[in-house]
Amino acid sequence: MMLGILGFEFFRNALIAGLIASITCGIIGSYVVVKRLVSMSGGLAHAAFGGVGIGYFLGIDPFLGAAGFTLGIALFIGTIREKFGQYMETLVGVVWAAGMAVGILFIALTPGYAPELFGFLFGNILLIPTKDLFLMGLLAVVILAIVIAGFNQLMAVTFDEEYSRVMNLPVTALLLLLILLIALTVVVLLRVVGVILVIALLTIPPAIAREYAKDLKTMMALSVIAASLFTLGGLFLSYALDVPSGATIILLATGGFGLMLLERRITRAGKLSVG
Amino acid sequence: MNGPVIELEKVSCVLSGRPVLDSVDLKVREGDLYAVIGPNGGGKTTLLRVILGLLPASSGTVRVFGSDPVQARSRIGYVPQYRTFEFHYPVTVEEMVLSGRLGHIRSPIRRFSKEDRSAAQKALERTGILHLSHRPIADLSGGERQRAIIARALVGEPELLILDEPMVYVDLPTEVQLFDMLHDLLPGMTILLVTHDIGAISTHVTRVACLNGKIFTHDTSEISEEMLTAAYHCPVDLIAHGIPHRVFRDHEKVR
Repeated sequence: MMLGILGFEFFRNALIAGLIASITCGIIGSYVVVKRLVSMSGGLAHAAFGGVGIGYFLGIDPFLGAAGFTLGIALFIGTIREKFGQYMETLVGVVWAAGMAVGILFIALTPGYAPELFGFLFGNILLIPTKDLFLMGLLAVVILAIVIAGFNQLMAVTFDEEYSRVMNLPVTALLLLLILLIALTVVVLLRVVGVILVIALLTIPPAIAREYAKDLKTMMALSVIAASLFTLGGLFLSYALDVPSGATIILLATGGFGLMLLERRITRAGKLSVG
Repeated sequence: MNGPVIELEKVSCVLSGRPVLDSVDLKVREGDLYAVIGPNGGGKTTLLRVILGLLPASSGTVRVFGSDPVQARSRIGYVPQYRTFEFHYPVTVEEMVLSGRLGHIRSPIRRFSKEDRSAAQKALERTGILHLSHRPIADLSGGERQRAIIARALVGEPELLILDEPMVYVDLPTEVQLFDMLHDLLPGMTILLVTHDIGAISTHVTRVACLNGKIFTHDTSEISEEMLTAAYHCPVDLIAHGIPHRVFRDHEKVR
């Protein structure tokens, strides 16, 4: 009887959106986790809200506003990254809060009611318009193409930045590219879990996958599988129980992370008692 | 090769207001196994970073294979400090070693060719870890990890190998094996290593210098008492404790 809902366009859109989000967050999230870019990604995700507010204010699509604004911020952070070095952490905190503030300010300045505001903050996978789905799909194809073409170099630069420099790889350009890829992924995930929860989807599935993967490709594949379980599971649960989808997805992911920690503990304890 | 492989003339380096290298002269010739020893904070890693072109010298000239270090990089294999190495990264030994070929691949996509893969096999064989190819680096022991880092440096078929503290975190038998391995590489290769551990100077070393901001050397494999005193600023018997006697000749002989 549950399968009956597959006949609805909104539900098909939600399924496709969940899969697109899972593929991109599994792949790019793996880089985020191994290169320790978690706080930078959190900053980018929250700054995206500034673009949502500007979008409302200018009367353009807030989703497009978020896409443009996030890419702009990523370009800014990526360009000054090397010069700032140790202040990066602070800078990310500033961008994080300032982006949110810009969003709130512009929404307040916009006359009338801002529809879907809650959706941009916390996500609503069940209310994704078909046109946004197309943009998500397009971004996902761009992300995949770049990762496939640059796989060896992106791995080298996330593994050992200094050695990549000694090999005369274009390290600065590659890291800028990686930050732009994270921004694109933030945009893809925005509709599904919202700016506040993006960081969870970007880090939890790869963090689980890393424990079981011996190389980066395996880690990416496992984290796509884990993310799919969480987003699609969250989608069905939120529909069945009529609770917010973004929060359900993240809590499922958190549950998965807890299970992984438990499993690791038991396995390790087992190994110790045997050894 | 006519000139020296590495030539530093009056190289000084100031890092955030602190002079780290002070008018350092260094000549490493083809076929040398050159060891630079010195206390922690004596500028050893800075010296290597200057030679690799990762850090500009504040003054003086640096030439590697007679040219600018950045241009010479494709002929250099580099073994970074074990302590700063990211061993938790999900990568197999073979993939890690293979990544050392990337600098030699010209196409923008940089796919690995058959040649690259056979070069990786050879480097793994040379370092004695071919049987570990498919293991993730996180599972390796200290000595195996050090071999993997050296294999990655060798896979680009370098003419100059630069090692930063290669004997830290490995036990004595492994250290002896590693030095034997370096010695076996020597024909056709020049090796420069830095270490803070005077005990780690093997009989295979052909030249030694002491570095503590300034550099002290007799351009031979002998470490003299005056070099050590100048570099370490402490009574020699304190640091020389347990060192094979051969490193200390009589003062007269050194002069």
